[in-house]
Amino acid sequence: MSRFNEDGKNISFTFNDVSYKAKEGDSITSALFSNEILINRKTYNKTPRGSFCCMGVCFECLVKVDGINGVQACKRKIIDGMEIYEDE
Amino acid sequence: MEKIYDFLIIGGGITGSSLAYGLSKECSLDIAMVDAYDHTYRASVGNYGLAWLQSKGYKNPFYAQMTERSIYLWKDFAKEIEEKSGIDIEYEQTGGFHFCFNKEDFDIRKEKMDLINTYYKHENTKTIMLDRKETMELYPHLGEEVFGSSYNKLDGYLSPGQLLKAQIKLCKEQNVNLISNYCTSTIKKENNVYIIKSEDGRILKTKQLVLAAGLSNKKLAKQLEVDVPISPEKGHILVCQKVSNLKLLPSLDIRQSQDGTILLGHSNEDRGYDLSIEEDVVQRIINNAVKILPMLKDMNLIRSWSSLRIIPKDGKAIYDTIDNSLHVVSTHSAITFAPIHVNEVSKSILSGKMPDNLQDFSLKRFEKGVSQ
Amino acid sequence: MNKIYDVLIIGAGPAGIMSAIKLQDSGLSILLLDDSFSLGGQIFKNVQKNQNEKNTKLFGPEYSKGFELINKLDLEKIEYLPNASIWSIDKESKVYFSHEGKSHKITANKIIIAVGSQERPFAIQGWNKPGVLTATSAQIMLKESSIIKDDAVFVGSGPLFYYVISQYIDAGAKIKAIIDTTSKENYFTSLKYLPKALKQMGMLLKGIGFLFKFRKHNIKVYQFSKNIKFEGNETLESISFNDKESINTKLAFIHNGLVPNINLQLQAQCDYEYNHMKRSIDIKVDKYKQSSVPNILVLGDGQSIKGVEVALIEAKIAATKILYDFKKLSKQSLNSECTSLDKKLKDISSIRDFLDSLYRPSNETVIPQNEEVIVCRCEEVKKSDILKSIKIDQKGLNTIKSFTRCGMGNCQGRFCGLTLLEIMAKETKQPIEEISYLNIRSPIRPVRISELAQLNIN
Repeated sequence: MSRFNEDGKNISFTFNDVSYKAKEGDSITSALFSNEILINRKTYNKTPRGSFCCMGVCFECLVKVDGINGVQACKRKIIDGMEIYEDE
Repeated sequence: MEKIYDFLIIGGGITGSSLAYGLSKECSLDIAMVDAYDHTYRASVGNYGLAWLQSKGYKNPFYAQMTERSIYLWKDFAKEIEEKSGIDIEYEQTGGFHFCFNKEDFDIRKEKMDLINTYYKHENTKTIMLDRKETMELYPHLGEEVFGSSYNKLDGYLSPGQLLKAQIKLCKEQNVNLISNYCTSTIKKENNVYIIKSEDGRILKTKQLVLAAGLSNKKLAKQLEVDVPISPEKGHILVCQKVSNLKLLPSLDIRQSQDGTILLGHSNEDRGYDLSIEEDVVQRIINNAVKILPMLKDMNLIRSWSSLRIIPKDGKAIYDTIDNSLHVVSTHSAITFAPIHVNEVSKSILSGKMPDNLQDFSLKRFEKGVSQ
Repeated sequence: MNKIYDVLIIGAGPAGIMSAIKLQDSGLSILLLDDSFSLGGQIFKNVQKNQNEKNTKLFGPEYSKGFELINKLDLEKIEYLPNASIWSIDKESKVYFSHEGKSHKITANKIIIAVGSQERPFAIQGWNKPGVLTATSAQIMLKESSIIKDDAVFVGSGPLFYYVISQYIDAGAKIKAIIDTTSKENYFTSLKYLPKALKQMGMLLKGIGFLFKFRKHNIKVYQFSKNIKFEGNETLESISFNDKESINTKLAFIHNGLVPNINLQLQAQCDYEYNHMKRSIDIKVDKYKQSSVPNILVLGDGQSIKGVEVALIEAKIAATKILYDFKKLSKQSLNSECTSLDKKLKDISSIRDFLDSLYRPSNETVIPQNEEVIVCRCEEVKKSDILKSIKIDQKGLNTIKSFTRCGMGNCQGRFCGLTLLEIMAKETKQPIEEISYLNIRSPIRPVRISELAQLNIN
């Protein structure tokens, strides 16, 4: 993980039950990307997909948060202790 | 010398392509099918996608019997289309429901179904009533507000888009001349030949003319001084996300296509040609659907659209032949009736008239002095 | 929040913010809606939080102008709602949006749509593999979270492409290579616009500066590249191009120019037209930025790609017209202000034709070369599926949509519509400007059913 600016509070989250670190203020996409997690869902035909546009128009970054599928990772801030799963 | 077609069908939707395909199977005459623009009113692509029996023909035995005939043909028809075109039209005859929310609705529905059941020729066609427990055996995620249902095992669904694609492909393969972006503006008859002209001036001639142009049938027929009393009826469809770990049996309110997409429907509005999405209709459809399937609440609506059904003045259908050469077909059940259109109706058109068993649907019933 | 506003501004990028600034002292009720977390849009993303020495130095003075602009906004005089996603505008100007899990409905007398741009679809083989992201993503994650990744390969062309690479370098990232897809022919065809472009010498020099920067950092630049393929099993592993070249990498940032983000405008029934030079669908507007829908104005990159300076002036023009419509301004004032704004517009547009021409995307990059390329990412529709359907029926895009499901997924055609249009024009030989675009219907983004069920119970 590399950031040119390490300011900001460190937080932890889990993705598919594995623990990772991120910074407060990251979107879920940024948090996953900074941890080299490139796959967040599979299509209907089971093809793996990852974030693409980071601005809310491609709908590739979908994840499952708080039991709800279809959450756009680029439009949600990560919170300390957040549990994220691959979108179903 | 300009070419004179043997048959020209105006309308390249489900009805038009069913008839063109059927005709091309029966003969090697010159057939053309003209279709207007990509953005015209197209009932075919606004279709909910059911091959449906149980709600059809209340107090209308002929309609019920025609539907019955068609439903029994559907499985073989789907097989034929798929084998010949290589396109999967995703037809499944799973059985389907109409949900009732209280005893009163249930009793009314039972009365209707019992009456329609008396019209059918086969015992096997009957629609049965199921109490809540029986409904839940087939529809496990049922909401608690559902009292019971009517169920018919012959009801089913398919992909209207794939059916249209397959029929058009088959038409082309069987040498039907498909002329797109051809918006018919005038029709006249001269010396037993129909001469049609498009908005951009292209002229086509034909001996036999079939009007299968949806709502445009009215204005086209008028040019030949034939009155076709049809009008638009709006319906809304809501498309929700795909759900992979669920398989829902269809109803008019909710159905699931083969790829998992959930569709919500069941609305009728009298709005002329206005296609705007109406908030209160959308809410009503959603509230109704959520009562039937509460898990919908957490799903996403992806898009909505509305489309116009073709409704004859008395709500039935129109099948008529005038002067042994002008054939008019206007129906809002083009999907359900596709097997009959492809077989019975096409064969009959070739012999210069509509099938005898469709006489009840001729235009004569609208003439003054004729009792309904 | 009220039910009715005088003016609704959709989009809090430069154009939206400037419109709000120009209208905020008028006494009109104004609501500024935006779907991000903070003011600034894409170009000034996160500018309020990035006001420290390190970041201002990295992102440059242009970026800091965004901060100055935002400071002029008086949030006591207007209402501002972030994280609000609009999903429909109906024909009675009722606007529906989603905010924190609830949907709301409001009406506005005037609506300004300033939603900016999106990346042009760049359908090349393997573009759907995880590890392939847009260049904009690199910039967003840089601005929002200071994230940089080493050894990325940048693939594409265009002013923003070079700008993002430059920022990435300045932030300290090591860039593996740049695969530049700018077409060689463009260097010749754009020459005729160069004399006019010299009027904005500063911008030209900035562009040339980028090229020197890349050389200085010893980044390998492969010019005039073609036949690009992203390869790998589940995720990106390598990029092959120019038939015999290949680079191993796990990360690629791609960019083939910007196009207006038009789905809302189309759903609201605004007329549109195909722009040959920019190879985009633009929204038709008059000189006051009025669209074909009586009370909807469309500005900035959401109308046609012209850059931030133009967007700021258009915002002033539109605001002036609105003040006049609300009788806050005389006809004379309207005319004199718009005349002087038009002149400014002309002055800062000198470089536009040159840039548009030089970076006009090639057929190679806009029409997938291989039939196996996925055109519709959401529904996984390949070019071969589309060709098969065109063979059956050539009527138009909506027919192909109903035959293949291209455009029916979550993104609603945002990343496949233009590709489909270009393919259609090529295969049917119809003039591209005569082909109707996809029908875009509400909701323009997925909305939870529970929100819709609750709508009138707010």
